[in-house]
Amino acid sequence: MKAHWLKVIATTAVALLSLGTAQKLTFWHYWDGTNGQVLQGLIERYQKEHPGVTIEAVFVPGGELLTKLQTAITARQTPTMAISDLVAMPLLTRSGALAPLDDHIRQSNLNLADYFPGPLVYGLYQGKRYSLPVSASNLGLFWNKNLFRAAGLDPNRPPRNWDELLRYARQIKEKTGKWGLELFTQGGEGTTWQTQVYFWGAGAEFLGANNTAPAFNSAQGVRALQFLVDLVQKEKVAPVAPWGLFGRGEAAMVMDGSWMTQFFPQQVNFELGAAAFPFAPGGRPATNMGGEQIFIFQNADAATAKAAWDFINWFSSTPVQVEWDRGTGFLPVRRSVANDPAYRAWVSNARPLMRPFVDSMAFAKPRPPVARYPQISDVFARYVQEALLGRLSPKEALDRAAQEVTPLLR
Amino acid sequence: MKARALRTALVHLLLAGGAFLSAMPFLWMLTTALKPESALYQPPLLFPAHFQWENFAKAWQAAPFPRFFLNSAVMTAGIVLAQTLFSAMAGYAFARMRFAGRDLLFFGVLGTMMIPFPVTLIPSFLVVNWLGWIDTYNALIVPRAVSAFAIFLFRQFFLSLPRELEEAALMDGAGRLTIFFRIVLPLSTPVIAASAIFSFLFAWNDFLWPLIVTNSPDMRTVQVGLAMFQGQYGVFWTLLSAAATIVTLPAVLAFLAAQRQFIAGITNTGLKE
Repeated sequence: MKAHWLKVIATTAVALLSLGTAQKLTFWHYWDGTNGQVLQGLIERYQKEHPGVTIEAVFVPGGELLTKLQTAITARQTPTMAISDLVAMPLLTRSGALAPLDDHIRQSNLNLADYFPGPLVYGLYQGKRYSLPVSASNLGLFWNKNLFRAAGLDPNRPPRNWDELLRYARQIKEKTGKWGLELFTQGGEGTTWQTQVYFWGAGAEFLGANNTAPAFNSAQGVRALQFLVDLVQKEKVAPVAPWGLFGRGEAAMVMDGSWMTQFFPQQVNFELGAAAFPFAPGGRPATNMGGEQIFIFQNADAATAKAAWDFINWFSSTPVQVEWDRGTGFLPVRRSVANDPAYRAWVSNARPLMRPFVDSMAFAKPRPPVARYPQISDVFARYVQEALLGRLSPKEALDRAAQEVTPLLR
Repeated sequence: MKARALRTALVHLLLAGGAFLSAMPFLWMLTTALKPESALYQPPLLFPAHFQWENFAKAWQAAPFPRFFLNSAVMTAGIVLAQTLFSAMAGYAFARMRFAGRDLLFFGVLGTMMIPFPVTLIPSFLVVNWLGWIDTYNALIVPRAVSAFAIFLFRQFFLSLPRELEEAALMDGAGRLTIFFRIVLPLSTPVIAASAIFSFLFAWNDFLWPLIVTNSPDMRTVQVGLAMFQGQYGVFWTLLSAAATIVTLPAVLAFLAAQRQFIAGITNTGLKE
């Protein structure tokens, strides 16, 4: 009898306590427009299903989120959780302000093997995992079917390797007078992350094992850059010019991101095709990858951190990710999403251009997760430009870039 | 006679060229704001060929702009008033009063103009946070209540005022404050206008500090609103241009209203920017 009463009291106490400890979580993100609306919809549903949890999503414009996070970390005024562009993850994990997620992942039986390997490279630091991927994007080939037809090419057959790419580009230049291919030549990360796709496609690596030394000046790397330089200097099928030629119908092919499957159709007045990007003969399929990672800050108390994790765990689950990717057009970070019948049906019906980008996630490579990546990228892009302009030979350019990059990796 | 007419024509031609160069970015913005998205990749236009007025409605509804305008207005008014008053007072002290270390202090104030903003960002944030001012108008206004540049502007102008006026007032028994408010300030409308315009443009266009010290959408300003069209995955140029047109309007109107005073103020203080 007494034990029975104790049990009642204990249960009531627990119930009261859980009511009393209503959780308020703050969440900083940069998802604007439709993406922000989809997120808000998911959060509202989560709150309805989990009374007692309130999630306050704070939008910070993309370019400034990292600055705001760094200020908040210095002042110890961090939100409960946040997202970041994956490129900034090495800086954030090294700040010591993020909470390791390993215990949460273990307790929730979250299957990391279901994730594509690329995005999982970020958020690891000294053997611990501090973030999880929640969205992805990657690069592929877009082509102008009208120009293909005008050049006498099959509009439904994209080039599959560099030989075909060059042959098509020559034929387009010859028959239509338009550029065969548009390269991003304006420098910075825009140039670097596109050039990396050619390097990887030729079997080159960007940095060596453990990311402690540059590896892009290998024989394969030189071959990749030589291919690009030839397109510009020898074959004259790609110009060094401001970005945007493809959109205006001045270039027949371009490497651009999965998000453009959403924007191009509204912006261009020609028929579009999309495919995985061609790679070097004897090379391997490769593409570059972007996306966001989610994480929890260190200073939350155990209950708040647990509540934040429960949300992240829910947000990362396959059904919610299917809904998220369909609403936003982000690429899946989990195989179970990419293979989900409803998701595949949606891609085929609503976004057929996205199909090759979804399939490319299997071989999408991460940019090296090093803290000084932005500086390294600037150096690399500058020397790629020097080579494209014919001021340095590819070998010379890459050797000099390697010389400047080496101290940045110490 | 003929030579003079030719010269006038040449000068006008030159000025027209300059006017065109200054107006072109605004024309470009306006014609982009009126384009449908499908015309985005077509070359820029000087005269609108499309009239997609709904871009303005869409841009206006994409963010809580009425609230953003209110916040920007309060912040800008506060900064303009505070900067003008405090900088005028400081400028007067540097121009007219004698005290130990005056010139050293003045050069120190000028020197602060060489410190880039990102260097002071985090310390300023720490102070504002310690005061509990995050998400308040205090955080938006108080840290910017003085301006070294405005102090410099006022000092140079006050140095050019004839001392005799103040000495006459002094003889009549006026104190420092009376002289400042009743003699000096009324004579200083050109420099007040110039300084106020600089403060206005600074405050209206400021982006990073308001973003750092506010979290709630209720405290965000118009510039943060504009950033919403520059997504991580592509810029919505037509909507951005429409919103930018709306946001630029108050600044253009303020400049036109104060233009005469502004130019007088610049020429009087011997400054050109």
